[in-house]
Amino acid sequence: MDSSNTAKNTRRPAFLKRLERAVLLLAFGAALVCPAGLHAQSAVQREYEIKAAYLYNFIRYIDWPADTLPPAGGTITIGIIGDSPFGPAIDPLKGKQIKGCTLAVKSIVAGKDMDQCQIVFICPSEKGRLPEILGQLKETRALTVSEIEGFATQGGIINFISERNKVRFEINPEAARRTGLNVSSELLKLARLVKS
Amino acid sequence: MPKLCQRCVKTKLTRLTMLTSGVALLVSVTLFGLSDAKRFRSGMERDLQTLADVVGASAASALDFDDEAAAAKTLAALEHKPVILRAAIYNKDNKVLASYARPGEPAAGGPPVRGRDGSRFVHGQLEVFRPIQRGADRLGTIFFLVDLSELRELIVNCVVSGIIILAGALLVAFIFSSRLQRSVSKPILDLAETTQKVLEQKDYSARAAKQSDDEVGFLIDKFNEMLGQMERHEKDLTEINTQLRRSQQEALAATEAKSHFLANMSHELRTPLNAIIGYSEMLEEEAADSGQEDLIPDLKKIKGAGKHLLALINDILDLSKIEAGKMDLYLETFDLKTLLEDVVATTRLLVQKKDNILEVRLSPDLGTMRADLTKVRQALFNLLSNASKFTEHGTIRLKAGREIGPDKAEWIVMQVQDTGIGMTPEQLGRMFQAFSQADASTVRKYGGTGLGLAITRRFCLMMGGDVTVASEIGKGSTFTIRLPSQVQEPRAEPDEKTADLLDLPQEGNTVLVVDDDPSARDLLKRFLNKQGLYVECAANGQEALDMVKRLHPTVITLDVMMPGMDGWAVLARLKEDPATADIPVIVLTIVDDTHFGHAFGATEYLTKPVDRERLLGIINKLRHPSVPGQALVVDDEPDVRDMLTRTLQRQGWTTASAADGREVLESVAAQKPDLILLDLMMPRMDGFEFVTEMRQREEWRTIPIIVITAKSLTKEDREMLEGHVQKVLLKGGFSRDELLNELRELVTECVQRAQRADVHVQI
Repeated sequence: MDSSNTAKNTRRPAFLKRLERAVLLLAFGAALVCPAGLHAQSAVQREYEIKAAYLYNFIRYIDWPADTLPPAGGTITIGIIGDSPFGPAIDPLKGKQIKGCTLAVKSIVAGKDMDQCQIVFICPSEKGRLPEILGQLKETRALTVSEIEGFATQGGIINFISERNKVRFEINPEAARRTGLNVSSELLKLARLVKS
Repeated sequence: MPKLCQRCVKTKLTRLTMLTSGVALLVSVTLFGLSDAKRFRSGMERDLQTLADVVGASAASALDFDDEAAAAKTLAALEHKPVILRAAIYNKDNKVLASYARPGEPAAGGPPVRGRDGSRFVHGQLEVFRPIQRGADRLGTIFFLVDLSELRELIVNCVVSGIIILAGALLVAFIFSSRLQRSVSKPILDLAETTQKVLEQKDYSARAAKQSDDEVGFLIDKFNEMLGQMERHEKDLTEINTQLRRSQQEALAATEAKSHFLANMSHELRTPLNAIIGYSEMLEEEAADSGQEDLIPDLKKIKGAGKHLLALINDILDLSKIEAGKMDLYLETFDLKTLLEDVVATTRLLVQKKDNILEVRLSPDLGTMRADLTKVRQALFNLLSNASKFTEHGTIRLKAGREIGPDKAEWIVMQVQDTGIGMTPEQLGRMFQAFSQADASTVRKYGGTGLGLAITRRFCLMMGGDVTVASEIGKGSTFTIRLPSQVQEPRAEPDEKTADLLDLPQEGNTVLVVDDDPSARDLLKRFLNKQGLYVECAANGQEALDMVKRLHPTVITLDVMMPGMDGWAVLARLKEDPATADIPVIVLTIVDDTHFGHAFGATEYLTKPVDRERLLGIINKLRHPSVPGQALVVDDEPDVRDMLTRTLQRQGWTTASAADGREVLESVAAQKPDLILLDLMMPRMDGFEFVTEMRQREEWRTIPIIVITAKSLTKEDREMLEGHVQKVLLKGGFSRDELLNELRELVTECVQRAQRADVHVQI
C-alpha cells in the first residue's frame, strides 16, 4: 500500500508535492508541540489497521453455509454496529475482492439489516446492549466479531484481545458451530479458544 | 597386469583388450556417476522445494495473522528433517517472522537477509529461498539452509562403487581376454617358435602347424612353402659345396704336384745345362791354348745358347714360384753403389752389343739398403738387359738416388732410360703381364721370354715398392724402380741377423782400422765388411794398441795424422812388442813418404784418398800368402764332377771326388781336404745330411764348404745351411773365374787359419 502511495506521489503534480511537504512540516511542528497525543493517535490508528486486515483475513478461514454466501460476483458485507473505532482504517477493505465477491463495509443498526451482513462487528460503544444484540443475531448466519472483553464467552464468535502489545483474538468454536459457520483449523490454531 | 614385454604378442593382445575395455568402462562409470549425482541433486532440490512449499503453506495462516509463535511452531516440525540446518519465514515486508536452527546447530548470526528466490550452493551448503503464495498473492518467503554432507557422502559412495565396479569389470575382461587372445596369439607364437627352431638347429625339415584358415593360417602355409624351398636349396648347396671342396682339394694337390715337378725340373734342367756351359768354357780355353782358334766362335755360340736357355728356365721357375707364393724374401743390408757397379759391369757387354752407350749417374748419398740383394740385382739386370735389347745405336742411362717419401720414409729410386723403339699406350698397358711382350713378333725379333718385366714387377711389389714405366713410341722408354730403403719382412718374424756381417768368422779374417776421423773409419769398415772381412775400429793410438793385444788382427790399417799418439808412434810400439811385431801394418797417410814408412816397419804404404781396389788387393795378399791345397768335389753327376775337378787342377789344386755324402764318409774320410765342393741333390746321402754329419765331427768342422747346386733354395734351405757353408753358388749362375776366385779366397783363408793354429802350438 505504501509503495502504491509512493507511486501515486510520483505522479502527482509538483505543487501538490510542495503542499504535502508543507503539511508534513506543519504536522512535524504540531508533533513537537504535543508529541504524546500525536503518538497515541498513531498507535491507535495502527492497531485498527491491523484489526481491519484481520477482519478481511477471517473471511478466508471461515466457511459460511452455502445459502448465506452470495453467489460469485455478489457482495460480502461487513456491518458495523455502534460507533466505529476504525476510522479511516477500515476504508481499504471497501471494494476488495475475496472468495469471488466484493467486500463492502457499512454501519448498521442493531436489529436492522443484519440479515444482509456476513460479518457483524460490534463496537465497544454497544457494550451495554451486548446481550440484546447477541440475541438478535442468534437467528442470523453472520460471523460476530467484537473487541469487548468477554464477548466470546457471552456467545460471540471472535473477539480481539491484546496480548503482549499484539493484536490476538479469541474464538468460541461452539458459538461458531451453532451459527452454522465452519472455522478453519488453521484459524483455530492461531486463536485462543473459549467456551460460552 | 604382467610385466610388459616387447616381443610378446600375447601381452600385446591382452593389453589391447584391457586398454579398450578399461577406457570404455571408465567413461561409462564416470558418466553414470555424474548423471547419478546430478539426478540426486535435482531430486534433493525438488524435495526441498516441496518441503518448503508444504511448510510455507502451513505457515500461511501464521503469516496472515502475523503470528510468530505459530510460525515458529510450524518450523519446529523441521527437526524431523535433519538435512535442514536452518530455516526462516519472512513476511511480506521481508522481516523475519520466525526462524529455526537444527538442534545442536549454532544459531549464530541468525537467518540471513532474504535473498532471491531459488536455490544456490554457498560454502558447500544449499540455500533455498521459496515464496509462500496464496494464488497470485505473495504472503512471504521461506528459507532453508541445507546440509550437503549427504550429497557428498553419496558422491563418495558413487566413486567408490564406481572404482569397485571398474576393477571388477577389468578383472573379468582380463580373464576373458587372456583366454580369447590365445586363438589369435597361439598360431603366431607357434610360428615364431618354429622359426627359432629352424634358425637354431638349421633344420629346414621343420614345419609350422596350421590351426586356422585366416591370415595367420595363410602366413603359416607360405612359411612352410618357403622352408621347403630353403630345404631344397640347402641340399643343392651342400652337394655343390662338397663338389667344390673336392675340386679344391684336387686343385691343391695339382698345384703341389706342379711345384714339386718344377723343383725337380729345375734340378734336372740345370744340371745338364751346367755341364754344357762348363764344358764349352773349358773347351774354349783349351782351344785357345792349343791354337785351334777356329773352334772358338762355335764354342762361344754353344756357351751363349746354353746361358740363354738357363736364363729362360730361371725366369719361368721364378715366375711359377712367385705365383705359387713360394718366393721368399731374403733380406740383408748391402752397399747400393757396389751392387749397381756390379750390375753395370755384368751388363756392359750386353749394352755394347748393339752399339749402345751406357751412362751411369749415381747420387753420392746412396749408402746402404736393406732388401733382398738377389732380387734387386735381378730386377735391375732385367731392366738394363731389356733396354739394351730394344735399343740400337742409342744411349741407356742408369740413374739411382735416395728420396724422402710423403710418410718420411726413405726410398731408393733407380731409373733405366733408353732411346729405343718405345711403346704405344696399349703396349704399356700389358707391359708387366707375364708372357706378354709389346708384340708377339718382338719375341721372334728380339728374343727373351717376356717374363723379365713381370718378374721385376713382382719382386718390387714383394719388397713393398713398385716399378713404373713411361714411354713414347720411337723415342724410348723409362722404367723406374722405387723401393723402400729398409724393406720390411713380409711377416712379423724376429729380426734375424741384422748385423750379419759381424757374424763373419773372426779367425784370420780380422782387420783393425785405426783412424781418428769417424767417417773415414766408417767408410773403410763398410767397404771391408763387404769384402767379407771382419773389421774392428780404433779411434786413437792407445785404443789401437789395446785392441791389437786383445784381437790379434790379421791386418792393421793405420792413419798417421792422429791427435795424441800419432801413427808413427803406434807403429813403433807395435814393432817393439814381439807378440805384435809380425802383424802386417798398412799405413794410410796424406803425406807421401814411402821411404819413411818402410823405415818404421810398415808393410805397405798408401796415400789418401785410398784406392780401395789396391787396398783390398794388398789385404788379400797379406791374408793369403799360401797356395791352393786339396779340394774334394762331391757331386753325383760324373760330368760336373769331372768339369770341376779339371778346373781346379788347372789352378794347381790336388783333387779328390765322391758321388755322394756317404761315399765321402766311407772312403775318403781318411784324407782331410782343405775345401769341399758340395752338390745338394744326391742319392743316398744328400748335401744337407752331409753338412749336418760333417759338423758333428771335430776334425772336419773347420773345413770350408762351397755348395754348388741346381736346386732353387727355399728360405728353410738357406737357414739350414747358414753358418755351416761358406758360399752357395747356383749351377750355371756363375762364371768359371768367379768360382775360382771364390775357391782361392776360401781356401787360403782356411790354410792361413791352420797355419796360425800351428804357430800357436809352437808358442
